[in-house]
Amino acid sequence: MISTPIYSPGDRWFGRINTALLVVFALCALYPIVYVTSLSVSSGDAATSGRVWLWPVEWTLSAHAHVLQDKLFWTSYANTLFYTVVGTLTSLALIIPAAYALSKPRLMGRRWIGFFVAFTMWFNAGMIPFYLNLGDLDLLDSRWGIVIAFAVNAFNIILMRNFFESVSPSFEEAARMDGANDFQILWQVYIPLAKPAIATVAMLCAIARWNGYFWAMVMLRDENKIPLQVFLKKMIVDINLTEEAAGAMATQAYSLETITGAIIVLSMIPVVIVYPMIQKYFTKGVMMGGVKE
Amino acid sequence: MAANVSLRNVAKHFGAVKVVDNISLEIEPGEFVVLVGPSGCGKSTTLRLVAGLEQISDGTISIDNRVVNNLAPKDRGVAMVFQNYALYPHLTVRDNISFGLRLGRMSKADIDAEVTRAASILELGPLLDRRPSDLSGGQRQRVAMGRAIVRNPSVFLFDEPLSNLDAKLRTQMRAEIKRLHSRLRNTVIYVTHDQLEAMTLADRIVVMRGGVIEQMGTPKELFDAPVSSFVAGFMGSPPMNLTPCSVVSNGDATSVTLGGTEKLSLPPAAREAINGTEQLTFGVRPEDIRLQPREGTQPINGLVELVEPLGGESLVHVRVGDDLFVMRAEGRTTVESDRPITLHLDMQRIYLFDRKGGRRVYHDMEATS
Ligand SMILES: Nc1ncnc2c1ncn2[C@@H]1O[C@H](COP(=O)(O)OP(=O)(O)O)[C@@H](O)[C@H]1O
Ligand SMILES: [Mg+2]
Repeated sequence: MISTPIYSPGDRWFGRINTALLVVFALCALYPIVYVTSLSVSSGDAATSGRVWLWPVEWTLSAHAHVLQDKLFWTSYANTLFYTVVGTLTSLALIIPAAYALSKPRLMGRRWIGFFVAFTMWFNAGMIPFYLNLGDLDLLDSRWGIVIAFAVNAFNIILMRNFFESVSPSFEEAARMDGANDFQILWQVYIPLAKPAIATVAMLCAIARWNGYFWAMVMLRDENKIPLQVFLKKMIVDINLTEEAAGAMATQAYSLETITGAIIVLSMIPVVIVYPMIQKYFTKGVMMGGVKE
Repeated sequence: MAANVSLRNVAKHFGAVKVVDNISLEIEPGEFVVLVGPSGCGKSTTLRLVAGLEQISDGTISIDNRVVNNLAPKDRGVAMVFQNYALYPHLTVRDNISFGLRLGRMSKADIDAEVTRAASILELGPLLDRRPSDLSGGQRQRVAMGRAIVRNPSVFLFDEPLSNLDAKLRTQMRAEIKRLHSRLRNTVIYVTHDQLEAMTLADRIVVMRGGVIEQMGTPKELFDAPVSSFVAGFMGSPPMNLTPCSVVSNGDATSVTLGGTEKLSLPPAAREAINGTEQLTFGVRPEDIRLQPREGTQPINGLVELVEPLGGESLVHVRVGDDLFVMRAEGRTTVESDRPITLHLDMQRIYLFDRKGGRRVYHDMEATS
């Protein structure tokens, strides 16, 4: 039986204002997506002269066609997929055991290790020493260099550790009574329990990888290793150069704006496909029902 | 199947804090032993030492005549039911129950047979493919027991298994645990802070206080012959009335004063037993206070403060000076609040405790046995 909730006028206004604010936020998030998509399928002229603001003007797929015909686009797309998938898996493979160990009071030197992990959140050596260090480790201009150099970050470890700490120790004890060793406990009990937290951390890692630009640009010389974001930058630079050389692109059906839009739209597709599949882990906890406190 | 469990001078400290202090306890094969005591007295820690979830600081624990001090939990032949059940939420009831078996090298057919056996004992058959979140509290409790049963343990350990259930379900599950024990006949060590659970389930009760054993014995022994005012105040519902009293000697007669005004003369045996001790605690069970005089009773006067009807009987709270006495009035009582009342205390069944240390100094055992 669900009884009808009783709202005071104050509650009603609270609800209305909430709804209004959420609608505004949703529009703020939605607008750039619609705008960029429209831009990518408008004519170069319409985009450059600022006539596109919501819907496509002078519909054309030439910008998309131009991007899709570029071999380097496909290479960089594949690279980004590699960096995202392999990078995220590597991160999880390192972050989860580290966080699990750090969540256990019996870990020797736990306070110190925890302190040093957290320390890196606030202080680091700086960009140049980091770069030089990567050079010394022979990680520059290498795909694995990108994967390894950014495999762990303290924030994600701490996020995961906090989750593991919140799991009732009786799960571990019950598994231990059943004869499970540490790896079995982690793999068969804690990881399934931690699905929401793991999804969160995986998503943070994946987004960082997908959008990763700066270090990829700094570290990678070889064009065949660059990710999508670096390709986008390169494309913009190339078009600017062409524009300067040719005077203008009046004859072209696309422009800098529509090309940019097209690359962004194409790079959003996997996110749009994957996110709904993992969304349930963010909304539904799996902790319910196992223990009763 | 059932094994004996022996704790000899077992101690556990966390840093400087002694949580379990030199406990010795011999448990017979098949015995149902309940550890009872107030929260924080070290019951769970003692149980966890037996389980192997904590390392003992000192002493020896043997199970089935084998020292297990350094044995992993799984090698001790024990199974534990946790207070919060600790069912794996991502697994079905079947997979929860068979979790431990699947870790070992047991064949699929044998595992299925074990699960079926446990399910039939606990009537879990129709629930096997559900997840813990789809079960009621009592069902989860039974699954937790099923997980223990399939391990074929020689010793069952229970840590407050019923404290998360509502009163009615608790009574029901209590009966079920008792039934399970009479069927499987394993040794059971059961922790609770509820004296009623202890009284109804135990072959033997161990009352703990501050990390040491205060008293152990059958439920009847603890009820009739508590060694201290602590045990007396713990067992029984409502527990024994305990009130400080002063001793007045007047020639041959010795009497105690309750509530500042009410005088009761002590039996000669009590006079000898107290032997000059002046700081006493007077104890009388609610069952030994009557509304009508009888042979051996003495009256005290008070004011009814509260009447709690329980259906078949009522609990009457009576103020006597500064003290409060609770008594049971059978049937439909005519006692009303705010009225003066005379209580008749059965002097053959009173208890006297030394107020320092709380040890019992007097009780007439003949009268209660
Ligand atoms: N791991 C631990 N570290 C430090 N103190 C503990 C630990 N476990 C229990 N204690 C302390 O030991 C005392 C007894 O705990 P416990 O055995 O759980 O009591 P009970 O089960 O009788 O309520 C408590 O004061 C508790 O704070
Ligand atoms: Mg406890």
